[in-house]
Amino acid sequence: MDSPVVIEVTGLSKRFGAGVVAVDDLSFTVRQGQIVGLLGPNGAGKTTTLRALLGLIRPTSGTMAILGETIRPGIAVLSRVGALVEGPGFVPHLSGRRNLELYWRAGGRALSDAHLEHSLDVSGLGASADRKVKTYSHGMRQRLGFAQALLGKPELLILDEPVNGLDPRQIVEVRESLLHIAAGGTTILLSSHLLSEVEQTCSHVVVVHRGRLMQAGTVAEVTASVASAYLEVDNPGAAVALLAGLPGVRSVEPSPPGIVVQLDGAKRSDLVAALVGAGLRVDTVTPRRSLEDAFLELVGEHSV
Amino acid sequence: MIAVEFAKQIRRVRTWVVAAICVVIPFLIGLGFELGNNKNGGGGPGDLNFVTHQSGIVIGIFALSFSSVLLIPIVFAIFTGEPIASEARWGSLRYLLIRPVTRPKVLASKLGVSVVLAVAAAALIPITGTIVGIGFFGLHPIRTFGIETSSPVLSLSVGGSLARLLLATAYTLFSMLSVVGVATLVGVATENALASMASGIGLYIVSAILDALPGLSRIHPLLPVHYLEAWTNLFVPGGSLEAMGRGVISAAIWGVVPLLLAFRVFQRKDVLC
Repeated sequence: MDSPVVIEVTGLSKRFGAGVVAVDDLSFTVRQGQIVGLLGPNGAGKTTTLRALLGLIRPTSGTMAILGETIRPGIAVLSRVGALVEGPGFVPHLSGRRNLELYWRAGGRALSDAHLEHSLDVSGLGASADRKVKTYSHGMRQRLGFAQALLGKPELLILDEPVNGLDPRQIVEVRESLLHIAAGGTTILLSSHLLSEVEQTCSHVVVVHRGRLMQAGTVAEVTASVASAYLEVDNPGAAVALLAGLPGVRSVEPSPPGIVVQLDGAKRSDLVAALVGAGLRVDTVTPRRSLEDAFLELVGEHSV
Repeated sequence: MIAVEFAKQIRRVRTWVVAAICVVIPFLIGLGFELGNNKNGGGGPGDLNFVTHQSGIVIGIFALSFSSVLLIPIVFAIFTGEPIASEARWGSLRYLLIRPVTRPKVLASKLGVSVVLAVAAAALIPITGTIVGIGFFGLHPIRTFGIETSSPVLSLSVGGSLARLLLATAYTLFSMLSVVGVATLVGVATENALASMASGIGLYIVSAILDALPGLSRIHPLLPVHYLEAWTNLFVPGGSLEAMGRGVISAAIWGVVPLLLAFRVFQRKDVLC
């Protein structure tokens, strides 16, 4: 039984001006409780997609729905969404606390619904929450931005490059808090160009490149679809010939001093068994199943 | 949303700097006339012809007259050109729009608050002028003369002259609709605070120059500054109010058309900031 659909993007395209196509016929689905990484290199159309989802820009074609409501500018369903898009933005001459109050009140809801103190606690700003935002460091603004996105316990969190510009300790904190938030039932869609980040945080991934969908699925599915192994053997030439003929092997290429095998169903242990059975000696077997490989392969195939 | 916008604007240093300028300038005008000490002299800006030291109210009238061509348009351009542009620069506009607040509501709230602040700041000019003037010269009825010595004298009671000054101020502020309209439109379209302020002030400077060229007299009635000083007729013997009526219509058109365009542009635009 699939959980309810939270985001449905269908055939989204966005063209800026005459020729620039930022997003090209992109479709994907996000379901409740998932942490979905929108993954792609800079300029892949990730931010444009998120902005369109939030009603900030009009798609050239295609439809989007959040929690069943078709998106148009300023639609009420956005009050159930928390977002952090292209960095935080605050009124510089007011305090962090005052910024969050005004942000919340602009939507016309009572301040008591906002869980303001809880959000400020999570942000860890402490006494700094009462200082003017213009005195904040980049990391403090980012944390206040998180606190703002979390006001009122949103059902959906949309985050654009949430760890950009944070130091390693802060990145770990963000990752932990995202997992914590998702465990509480909030669905999360985040964009990133950092593969390791998506791999460590997300349950699902949507790979985009040049505005087009490359692949979508669970992180495991996407990495498995391009699983590969690196082997070092005493006779690479013979190994290449042998492995290329095995079932479940897509391709074999020398990669001195070893060889790289793209798998299509075969396991690494099958490779080793075949090699040993043929009298070859195996020095090293390394899995290459990271999302990074998958990503580079997906993107590389389609690069011009 | 209006309360939220007011809370943002009222704490800005800019708001208070502009207000301070609007108090200091009429004070300097009053001081200038006091130090001039030419108690028998007459004169005044435009068609006005006063004995300057007869009453403090005259300083209020002068303060309004001296500031209506440049200072008051600048005040309006500063306040109304900037709200969307600065919110865009801070990066907070996108969060306001996904709160969500509908775009017409965002623009209307910002416009409303900025106009109220601009009116309040600009109204300080004749108010301070009158108060300073009363301090220097007391509160007395005023008499004004026509340009020609043969023309009759207009005598106004204290209440009558204050009422006319109030009407003149209201007329001048209403005339600023053209600045509000153009500055708002450019501010929304470019999201650039400097461009929007410059366009509001530039509109006045350019049309003041055109208005001064006799060869272009046919288009003069179309210019937003043409009727700006029509209120001086309130203080001229036998002055007609017809020009003020035309000025109200001109300002309404110069204000409403760009404002409608601004709402349309804002509703349709892709918010990329």
